[in-house]
Amino acid sequence: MTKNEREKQYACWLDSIRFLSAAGKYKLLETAKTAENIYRMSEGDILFLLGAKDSGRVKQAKKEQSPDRVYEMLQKAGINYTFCNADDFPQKLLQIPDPPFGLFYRGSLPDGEVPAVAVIGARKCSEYGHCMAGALAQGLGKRGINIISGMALGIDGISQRAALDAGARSYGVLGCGVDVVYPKSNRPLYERLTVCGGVLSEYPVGTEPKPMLFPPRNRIISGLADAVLVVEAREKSGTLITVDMALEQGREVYAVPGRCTDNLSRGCNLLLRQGASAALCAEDIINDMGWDKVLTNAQDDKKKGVSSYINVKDLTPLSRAICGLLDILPVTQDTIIMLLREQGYTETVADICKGLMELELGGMIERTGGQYKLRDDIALKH
Amino acid sequence: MYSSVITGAVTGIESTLCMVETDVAKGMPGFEMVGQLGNEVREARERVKVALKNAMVEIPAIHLTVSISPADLRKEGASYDLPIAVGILVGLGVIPKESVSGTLIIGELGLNGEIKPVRGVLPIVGCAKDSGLRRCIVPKENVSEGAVLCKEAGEGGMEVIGVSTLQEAIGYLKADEEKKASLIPPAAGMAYGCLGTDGQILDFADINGQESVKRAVEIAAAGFHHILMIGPPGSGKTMIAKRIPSILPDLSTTEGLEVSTIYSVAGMLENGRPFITKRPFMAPHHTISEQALAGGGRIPKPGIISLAHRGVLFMDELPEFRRSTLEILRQPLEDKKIHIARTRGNFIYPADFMLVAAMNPCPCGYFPNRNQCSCSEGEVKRYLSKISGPILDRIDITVEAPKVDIKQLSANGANEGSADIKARVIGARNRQLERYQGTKYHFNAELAGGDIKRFCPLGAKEQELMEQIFTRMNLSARAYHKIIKVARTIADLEGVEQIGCGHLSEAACYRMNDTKYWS
Repeated sequence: MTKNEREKQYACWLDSIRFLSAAGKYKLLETAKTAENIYRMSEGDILFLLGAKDSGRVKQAKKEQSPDRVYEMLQKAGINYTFCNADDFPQKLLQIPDPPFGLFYRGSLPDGEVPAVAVIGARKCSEYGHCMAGALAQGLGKRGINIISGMALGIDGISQRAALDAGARSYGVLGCGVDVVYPKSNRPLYERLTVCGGVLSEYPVGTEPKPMLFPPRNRIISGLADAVLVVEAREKSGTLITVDMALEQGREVYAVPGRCTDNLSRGCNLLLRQGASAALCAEDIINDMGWDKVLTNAQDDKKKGVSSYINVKDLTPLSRAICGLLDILPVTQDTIIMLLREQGYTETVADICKGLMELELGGMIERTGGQYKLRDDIALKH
Repeated sequence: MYSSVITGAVTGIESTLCMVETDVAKGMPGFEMVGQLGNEVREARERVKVALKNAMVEIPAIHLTVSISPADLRKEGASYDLPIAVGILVGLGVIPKESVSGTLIIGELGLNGEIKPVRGVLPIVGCAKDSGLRRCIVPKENVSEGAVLCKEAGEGGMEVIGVSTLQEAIGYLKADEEKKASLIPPAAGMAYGCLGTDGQILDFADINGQESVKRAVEIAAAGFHHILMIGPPGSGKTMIAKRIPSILPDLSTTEGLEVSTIYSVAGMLENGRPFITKRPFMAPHHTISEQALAGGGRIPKPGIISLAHRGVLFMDELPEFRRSTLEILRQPLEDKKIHIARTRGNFIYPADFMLVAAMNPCPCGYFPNRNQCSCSEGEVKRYLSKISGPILDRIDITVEAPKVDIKQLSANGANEGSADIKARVIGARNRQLERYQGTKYHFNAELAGGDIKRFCPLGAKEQELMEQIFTRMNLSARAYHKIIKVARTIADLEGVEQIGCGHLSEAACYRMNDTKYWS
């Protein structure tokens, strides 16, 4: 066993103690120099450094768990571990204030050489956010940029899925133990991430998700990235807290503009007002960051073009009018009928339904929850 | 002396004739009653004794035995009072025996001798008519209900006589046969159609905009499809639902009789309007109990779903209903009747209704508009999951009702009225009746399995379109069949025998909202 490996065992043992702060652990390491020394530290020294409560926890852990056993169990569960003194610890994290002491992870750690963008935003996102997060993450992913996010509902999951679909690697930083899938509905994404990227957490294995655990993990999301992209955020939201951390860490901040009247775009527009850069498409970020020289050109997907099934020219005038009415925000059939009537179309409901079906089968429009919208890729191309 | 009087009993909505046998004998004075009697029937003893006294009939010290047969049938209710009293009088020789032969007597007695209305007169009189009896004596307040069945009074048909007091009844029965008609003339059969709409008439002309919802409702009414309307608060779902009865075809005579019978059993027929010709509209509040919906109680009564028989059952705020209450609908939606088993026996009530349901897409009502909706994804899922798959499976048409625009509200354009829509619906109904003659079906919505292929054949082009829709939209086999059934109704509305691509396309627009709502 290499020295490095043995150090990891001891660090892992220390990191598996619940409720110890990263700062406390760093304090121990500073005095002891190596993780092994921390384990062998006298009770008095630990008490001096950590105070009564935390030193009690360390003492308890010493009694209950031995470092090699903790590490062995971890490996049996397919979980890896790294800590700040190890060679494979992400260097980007060492540059941030209050870095994590160690990271538990499944899959792999992000390669520090590859540019990485953190895509963050609201959990309850709108169709617009859905569309933009997907398009931007896909655009970045196609150029081989890593997408870092929190594997949450909404923007997080959408962007990570899009990146994986585009063939990029993506990393999810969790606010719970790395073996806990939260939210449960993201289980498929979790499995994909462990194969094409990784899931990371600074919290001990088995930690249940708690509201207070999420804000600290956001510093890791922005810390692992070179730039932070905000897709949709309310005025007072966790997303904006992450942005503050990113700015503290010296990361570039990009925001997707939205309508002034949309609650979900208020946060983004506010950021833009405060001087964040606007990201209208993936290339905006790539050019701004000067990555276009580093990265290989994306495979030319122009050839494929928009993969709709029908040609706009083949559409009936009614269908073309319907197409003109729709954008990515879903509207009900009744609204479509009303708007058509305003334009002077007098076709029956049955005919309009026929037109909608033609467009849907033709791949121009989509139906979500009984409402119609233009397909994302077609809307973006307009 | 022995006497027997015919009366009737209702079980479920079926009725049977009963015989009240009375034996008047000398001996120890007493009053015995047998025949599996419920408490109310037992109490008849006191009511009858006092009512007879107050009707100035003196009862000597005798031993009375009353038996109500068939003895294995449980008797409930107060409708046996009058036949028991008459039986005693016949036994005493006050009333001649001949005058009660072939006569059905039913009614509750008050202590002062007045005769009070009872439930279930309509089915009992119907049963008497089928058995060939010549006369029914019923409480005055129930007389119009009973008379529904004998349009041609007198001419060899059955007479229905309404009496309001015991003395009147005695006087009538004592009178000679020729004088009877002048004493209390038999109630004339009311013309069908006496129960109109109550009060205000709701018309579709009141509704601005909402064209596709109106269209979906028209299709649902034509094919008797169950329909679900989803939309934010204030989008007019309830308003539209309340107008559905105005476009449904009037009840046929047989249907009207079925509905009236249920209402008679439930004691809900209004005096003077004994026959229901309009389709019922039932809108239970979402706090309704299982028993109230399904029917039941110690002495079972029809529930709301049976009162909505041949009409509309409107369930507003569908997910707010208790899950267990909703699950009750499963059997009636499938079998068109409900089977209730209680300690007092098994009852089958018809429940062939058109389910019209309305709901918000999420607890706050604005999903998927994320700028207004504040519900978390979990909350939305939980809200929607209150409606189970088996219930959703039975709903053919789903339609989204949008928030109404101010422009639409203030528009003054003439909207199509209910009468025009109703004419189209009736046309489609007639086409269906013709098509399904000699089969077990009445409406397109009932079609199942192989019969869908038989009655809804698709041409090559249509088949191709359906295949496209099926694969592109990731449909289940059930959704596929629903689209074809709805397309059949759309074609019927248009008066076309062959289902076309346009019909299928439109039907596909009303399919269950798959991906977003129920995934």
